[in-house]
Amino acid sequence: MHYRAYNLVIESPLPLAPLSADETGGTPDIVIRQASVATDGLPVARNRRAFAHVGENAVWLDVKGVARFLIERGETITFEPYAGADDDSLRLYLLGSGLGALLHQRGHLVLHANAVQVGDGAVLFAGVSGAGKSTTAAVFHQQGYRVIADDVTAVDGEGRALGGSPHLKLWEDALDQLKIGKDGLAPIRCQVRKFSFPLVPVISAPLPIRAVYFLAARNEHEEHQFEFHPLEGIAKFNQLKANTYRRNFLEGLGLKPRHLQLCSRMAQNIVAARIVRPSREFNAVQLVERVLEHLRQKGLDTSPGHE
Amino acid sequence: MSEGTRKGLWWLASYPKSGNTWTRAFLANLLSGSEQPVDINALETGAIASSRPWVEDALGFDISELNHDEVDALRPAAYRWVAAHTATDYHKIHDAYTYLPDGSPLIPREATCGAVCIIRNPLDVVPSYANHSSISIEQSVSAICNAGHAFCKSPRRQSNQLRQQLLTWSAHVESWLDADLSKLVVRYEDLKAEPVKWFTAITRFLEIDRDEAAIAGAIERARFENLRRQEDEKGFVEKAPKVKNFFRKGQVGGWRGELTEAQVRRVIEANRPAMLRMGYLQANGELAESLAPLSSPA
Repeated sequence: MHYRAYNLVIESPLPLAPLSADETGGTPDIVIRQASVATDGLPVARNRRAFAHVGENAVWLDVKGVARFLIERGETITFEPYAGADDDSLRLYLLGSGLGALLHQRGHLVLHANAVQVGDGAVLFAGVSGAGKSTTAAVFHQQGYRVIADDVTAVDGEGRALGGSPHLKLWEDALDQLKIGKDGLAPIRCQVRKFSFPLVPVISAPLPIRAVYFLAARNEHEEHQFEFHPLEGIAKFNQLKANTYRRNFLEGLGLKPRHLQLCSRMAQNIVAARIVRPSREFNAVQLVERVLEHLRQKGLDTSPGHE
Repeated sequence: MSEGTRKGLWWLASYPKSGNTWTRAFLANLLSGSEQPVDINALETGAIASSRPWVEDALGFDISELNHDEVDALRPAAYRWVAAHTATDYHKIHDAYTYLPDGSPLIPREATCGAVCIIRNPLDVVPSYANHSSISIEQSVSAICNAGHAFCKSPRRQSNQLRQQLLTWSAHVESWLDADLSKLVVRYEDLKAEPVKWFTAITRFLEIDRDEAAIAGAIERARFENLRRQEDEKGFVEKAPKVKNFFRKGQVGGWRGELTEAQVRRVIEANRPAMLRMGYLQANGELAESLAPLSSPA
């Protein structure tokens, strides 16, 4: 089967729904295949973590109980499942860490961020897991905006966001807060209470990024209060660097200089702010209002931007 | 921020509200080499053991879609990796010393240089923990007596920290006392009564080469009143929401005015073994008026 995500055609033996199917019949840009993958990693690696080795042309990942993955030259992902691994877990790691590594290899700036279409461009919400990225994107969705990437956003050399997989992964708490019923929603994998919330699949052209908001949760604030710090100059650059997906990949892939260049170029062309939210429940609707107000102040179109 | 030559992790292990931050403030001041007190919001002695980003980075792949048990199974490998590949640091840990289903410890011995176990009378932990968590004294008593007590344990959301199993206060303390690790056991009450003796013992145990004057200076800069003054001036990032102060009273025996007799009995009932072992309770079951000395530090 062929699928489309991040402006690429992906061939996979494992069904990759929620990705949109590609019916064009063209040559795939990326081939995913099931075959054996070394148990002891890469013989030559410039960066090693406990279960990740990164070399110039290859990333090796060992996700215990799920599969070993070998991601090469931005073109192929080979996976060897562990006995008893379920398809949902395989799919999650193929589309998460696997595609994340591959997008790095293709020279994209890969951010730990969600992307939403606002006007004729994209607005990104970056931050660590649990910062509130997907909850924020879900509110945009509820208000008629189009979410174009969840969790990992790839930015091309021209500062444009590429559309990722058309679903949002939301924890049970976030669903309750957004008053979204769980009926009909499938857990992303049976081991966790996080659900896949499907979005209308759209094959959109890459969108120029207008703004990036960096989300963080902090302890010391009264509930329901946000801190909003507009960012300028080097602060934007530093935040883009810090919110890059799996930064250790860059060193191993020899992409650090290119990465700094991409961050620097992008920083010059975006509006940015850091938003510190209360650590417990936060009012994502209020956050979205504040963001839209900020975008308007900057003279940007805040319409949903699509028919 | 590290000293010494050995590869591995030093743990600052304690039940919450038992003097861990005070110890970290002492270490940060000791290691800074400056006469200026270290900013309480920059106590960079090392990541907390339950730091999600720290553990995730050591593993090298995303763990945000794994459940608590799955993450726990990976934590030993993360600590082994950090021990082998990064500078030696001093890491706060509130997790009890627990074992995985296969019987191996969550905190591997081979990744550990040693553990300073900081222990405080649970009767004093109760009001401090109540304040920290914005709960009543009664709820705090329940927490400390609950064998299933854990931080960040909800399966419904993701926290920036990993699940930390605390168990009862007694089970927590005994888990560390009985851990097969190199250990220094210190009581909060002894740190208060004889700071020079005990902070010197900690310094020596952690193989930090500093003289008496440096240790005395660090004790002074990390004194409760000085930490509290900093918090009043600029706040403290480790303070929980809705709480006025992280550094509350820092007293020994303050519980006498704050717990009812019934609450005292409940705490003792559920926590007798470690209270006896640490000298908070005498063999006859009476509360100790003064603490018998622990075996003296080297």
